[in-house]
Amino acid sequence: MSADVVVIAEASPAGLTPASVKTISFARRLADATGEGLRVLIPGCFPETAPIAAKDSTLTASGGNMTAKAVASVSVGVANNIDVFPPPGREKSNMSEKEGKASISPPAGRGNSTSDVDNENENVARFLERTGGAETILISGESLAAYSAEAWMETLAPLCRDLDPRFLCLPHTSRGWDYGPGLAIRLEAALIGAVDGFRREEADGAFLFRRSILKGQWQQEVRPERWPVVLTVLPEAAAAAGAVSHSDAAPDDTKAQANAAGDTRGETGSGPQGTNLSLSSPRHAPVRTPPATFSSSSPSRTAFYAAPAAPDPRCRPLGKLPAGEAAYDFSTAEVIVAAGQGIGAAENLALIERLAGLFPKAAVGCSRAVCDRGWMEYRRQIGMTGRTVAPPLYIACGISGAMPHLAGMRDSRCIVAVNRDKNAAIFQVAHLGIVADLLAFIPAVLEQTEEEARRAD
Amino acid sequence: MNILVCIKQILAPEAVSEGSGGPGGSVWGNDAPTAKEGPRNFPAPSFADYCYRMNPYDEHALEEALRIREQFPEAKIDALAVGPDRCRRVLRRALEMGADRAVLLQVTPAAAGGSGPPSSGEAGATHSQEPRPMSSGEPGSPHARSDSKPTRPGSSFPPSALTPYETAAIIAAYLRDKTHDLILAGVMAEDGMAGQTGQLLAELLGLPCATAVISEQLHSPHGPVYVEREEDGGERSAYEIDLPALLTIQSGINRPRYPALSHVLRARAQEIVVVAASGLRPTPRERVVDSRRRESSSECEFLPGPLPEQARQFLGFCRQRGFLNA
Repeated sequence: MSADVVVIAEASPAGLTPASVKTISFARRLADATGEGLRVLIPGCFPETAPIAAKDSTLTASGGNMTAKAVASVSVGVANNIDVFPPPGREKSNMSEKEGKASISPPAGRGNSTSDVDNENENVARFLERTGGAETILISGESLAAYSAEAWMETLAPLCRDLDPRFLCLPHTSRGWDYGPGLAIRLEAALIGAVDGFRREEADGAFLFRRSILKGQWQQEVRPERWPVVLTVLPEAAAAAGAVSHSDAAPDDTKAQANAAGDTRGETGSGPQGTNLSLSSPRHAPVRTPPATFSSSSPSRTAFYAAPAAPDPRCRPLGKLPAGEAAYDFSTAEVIVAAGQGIGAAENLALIERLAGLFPKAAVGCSRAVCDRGWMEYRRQIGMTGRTVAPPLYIACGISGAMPHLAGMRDSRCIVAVNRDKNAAIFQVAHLGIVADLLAFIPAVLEQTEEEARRAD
Repeated sequence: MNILVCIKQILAPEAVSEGSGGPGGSVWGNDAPTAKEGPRNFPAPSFADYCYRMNPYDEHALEEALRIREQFPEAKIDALAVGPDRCRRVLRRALEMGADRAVLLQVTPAAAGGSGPPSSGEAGATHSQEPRPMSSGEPGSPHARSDSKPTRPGSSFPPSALTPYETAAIIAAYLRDKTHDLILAGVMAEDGMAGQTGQLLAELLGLPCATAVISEQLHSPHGPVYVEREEDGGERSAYEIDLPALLTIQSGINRPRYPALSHVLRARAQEIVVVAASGLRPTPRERVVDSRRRESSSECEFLPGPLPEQARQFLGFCRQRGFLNA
């Protein structure tokens, strides 16, 4: 089966990242629309298996990482077939060294099964189960152990050239967005970033991809002018059906997605029926897609790919930094009151605090703009580059609702937004909207509670 | 040491916000040329001041360059923008902040597409036309607007302002025979929000690149440069990168300075080099076919005023759902 749509997923030891799972879900819709196959590439997810094809596989279990043995044996369980996928376009001499020692084989993996390996089986299964039955290529290599755009592009560009897809879907994360543009240049591809939906042009069937501009108040549709096209995909794109704002469905989709966010697993395997699912879903109803029918009808295959060694990287990862200031713990808060640029000045934060003080278990967070102005610490920042929160109630005060902020809070169960601008993008995700000046609204709320307290006395 | 800072003149988001204009309606309704006016007239300076400004992320990039020059005083800072003539304004500002030289890669409105809605050009790119609020119901907007200007041959839609790829390709073509040790750009443009131009430019020039740089240290003008880049969830990763390199600068890395009066006066005497760059524009790889205001969500239930009533209903809403004690 040719794969028109390729997803480059991201993984942590815990499995595919939620953003990746949603990107796969989006890619599935694209694949359905083109009627062709879907492949998922997972680079760098198995640091312990870096030597998989390069050295022999005398590997030990460690931490939450998978060994070559575990990968091999689990893949047998999950997938029907395993290929050792040679790096395309490599020199023969290079190849032979790798091939000669690429000693993974399903029987060996199974034969050496130990309880350690069994544990790791579960780990690997976690990666594979969420690819929704798509062909999966696990990419390992020492150069991928720590992320750098250079190493990812070195590995992915030749592989993608070889796979020759029409659509390359990357999660719009700090990584996908980092290496995606460079990858597009190497593939001479079109590039569309922060995609949150797509539709087909009626006239000629062309794909139009939707994205937000101007703090989310405007949207644009972008048409690729060549193949392939590299897309970096926002999580909400997973739930947005083919239709975009031209139909009435779009806001529904956004909302449905917000509700479904806690249960991305259901979405992952959604078959062709999934396309219209959110259109008919009642308001606020959780979206659960039917179990995947895809994987049963088309056997999934798992392949391994050894990343070529990167001899002299110009960009050398030095590792993750210990968090300088401990991140603020929002996890116990039932209500998060978040301040945005609309509060106008640092001294108005007191009002936000007082509003939060009305609720028994409340916390105060903020948007990046507030941190950048030095009004609050970065540890309280909510959004793509800050915390991701999903409290029962989120009260956004003076937050415009640009995409990076929405990424960190849109899964909140109930969202109340207070903003002067009725067109603020935050109202797109809010359940309850209050168009008012914060500096008047919050005092009005406080006054109301005080009055009620007086009456109760 | 030569440092290049890519600067985009952006459309101020609040300038596009409906209802943000003074009495008499939206700013666009009052001042913006409409599609029927044909060739674009650039707005009066006061209007342009309101509508356009330096992308704030690029201010952080320029500030970072200025700090590097404080450390290595022999360093020279070039500020560069791509767009029509009005982009001189942000370059002037860059000179006032302390840039040594300013270059405008001038792309005329015709070449940049005369009739684009707001779109995502990036660092250095600009909009060739002011957007108008378009009601979502405006029929067939892409085609309906195509009468406003002659389209380029072979384009069925009015080409929009420069895309990130076009901007990067123009800059890359200009830089072919130049040498810079460090290129800085904002992490994204506040209007287009693509965050791609820097990475595209780096790859076109074959330079290593780090995005969302929140901390940067240079111990020698020859590099390498130590950077920390911001990742999802507020995590940071550190990298050591050989020069020449390109960094896209995240907000929060520094506080951009206000130009000192002496610099403002000095900048008056400085020349802005203008290079005709329309010929450097590549074949676009993607095209913005439509821009429109997002429709308001039908899901959001708005509380009607007046204020005390809104406050009362808000509290009722919270009580009803058990967030507040009854």
